[in-house]
Amino acid sequence: MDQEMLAPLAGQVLSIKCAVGDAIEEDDEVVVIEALKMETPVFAPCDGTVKEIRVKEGDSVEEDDVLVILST
Amino acid sequence: MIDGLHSLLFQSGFLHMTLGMLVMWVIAFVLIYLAIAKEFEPLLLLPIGFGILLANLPLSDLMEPGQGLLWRFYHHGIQWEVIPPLIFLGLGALTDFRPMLANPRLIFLGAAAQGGVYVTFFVAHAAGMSLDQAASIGIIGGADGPTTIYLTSKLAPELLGSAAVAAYSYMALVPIIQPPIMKGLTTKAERVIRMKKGRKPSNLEVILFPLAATIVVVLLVPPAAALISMLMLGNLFREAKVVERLTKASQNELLNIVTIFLGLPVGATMNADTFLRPQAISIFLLGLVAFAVSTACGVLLAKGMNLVSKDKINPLIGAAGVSAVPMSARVVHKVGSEADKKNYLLMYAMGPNVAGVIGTVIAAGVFLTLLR
Amino acid sequence: MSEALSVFVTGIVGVFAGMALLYLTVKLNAFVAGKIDARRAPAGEPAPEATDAQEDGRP
Repeated sequence: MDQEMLAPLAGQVLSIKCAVGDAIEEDDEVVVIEALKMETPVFAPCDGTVKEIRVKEGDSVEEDDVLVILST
Repeated sequence: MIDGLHSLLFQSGFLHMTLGMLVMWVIAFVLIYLAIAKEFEPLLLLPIGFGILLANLPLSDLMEPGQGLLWRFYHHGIQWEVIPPLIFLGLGALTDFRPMLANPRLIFLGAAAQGGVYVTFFVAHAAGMSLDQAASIGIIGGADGPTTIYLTSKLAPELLGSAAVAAYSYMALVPIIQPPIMKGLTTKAERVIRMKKGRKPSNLEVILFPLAATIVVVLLVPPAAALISMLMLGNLFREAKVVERLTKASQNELLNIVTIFLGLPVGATMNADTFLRPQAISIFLLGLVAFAVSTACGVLLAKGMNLVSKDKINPLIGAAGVSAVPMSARVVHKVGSEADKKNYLLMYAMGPNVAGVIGTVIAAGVFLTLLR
Repeated sequence: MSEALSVFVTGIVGVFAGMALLYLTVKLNAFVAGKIDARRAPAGEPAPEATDAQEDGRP
């Protein structure tokens, strides 16, 4: 089953800490979003492997935009 | 020839230095050091620190009424009440009111955090300050530099330097002052509360808001008109999206220029004679009280609202009613994520944060209405 | 002292009254903007999938 990882807040994607195919555990830091000059790490909602990365570094994201799709 | 050298020596400043001036130099260097090495509100404390140094070099006429350079900046910029409203124009162009519009009840947290302003006002007056002075010290608790300077320059200009330095120093110290109070007043169960998502305000709504807010606030507290009107004009520039040049100019060039002319003369009002009094120490202590009480009031009101409301508010965001934008919102986010690292409070905290700016302006307007 | 007390009380009441007014303004603003958006959406914008749902809802 696929699990979408959503942006918890609007901001700019500062860095992506995973690659397609990586195995991820719950609470791993997957993406870092910068908002209001503060770095906010976004953590994986569950275990899984990275199926697709929908954003790249420097992208602006809105709240609830899909960042990464995990297959569990 | 010897006479010439003699009079040159006597007209130089060296022989006119006083101990008080040296103490002020130390204060100036400490502020400059904190600004450069620790990045404590450097945009303001650096020019303020330099202004303090200049004000304590003897025989220069920089602050001489009617002729000195810094006096002219002070007189035409601050006494004429031009600069603080222009700062607000820039802040308005930088402020996104959406988090507040999405969650209107958070406005009340921005109101509660003005509690420290009035508590401190009362305490300061009880401690022997005049009503005008007490109001100027209380407003430090609003954590809004331009408003503090605006109100103090009108009510108690003799306190301007101390009040401004206290306000900006404590703003830099928000990450140290607020967390213990926030943690002390909340339980772990409260800190992990996740906020319910607000709705998304439409574009029309964010354009209409600055117009509506201007009308309402100016009708309610006319003395706050200069500040609130400029804040909302800047915001209208931003949200209208058709005057990008004006938005950019307000956010960048204009804001940066007036920041220079705000800090320097404010620092220059702090000469040894007016600053080195026991009063200055009480201003700093009372300013700290103001910050702490404001933080506590915001958190406590959020807890109070949870008693009657079905959608629970994370009480931490009450602390962001202290309008140090966006520092206190960041602090809320950090404290929240210590309790639950997947709880993202930042944008929710921006709601009370921007409401707090309006709240502080209203508080200043109320003081001006009652005391003038 | 009594003057300070009256400023204290009036001040707190004044700020809360002002912010309550701001709250009502924001609510009213959202309501009015919602109405205008709803009326304008079907006619103004091309809105390819204009449905009945847009009559009272947001576009």
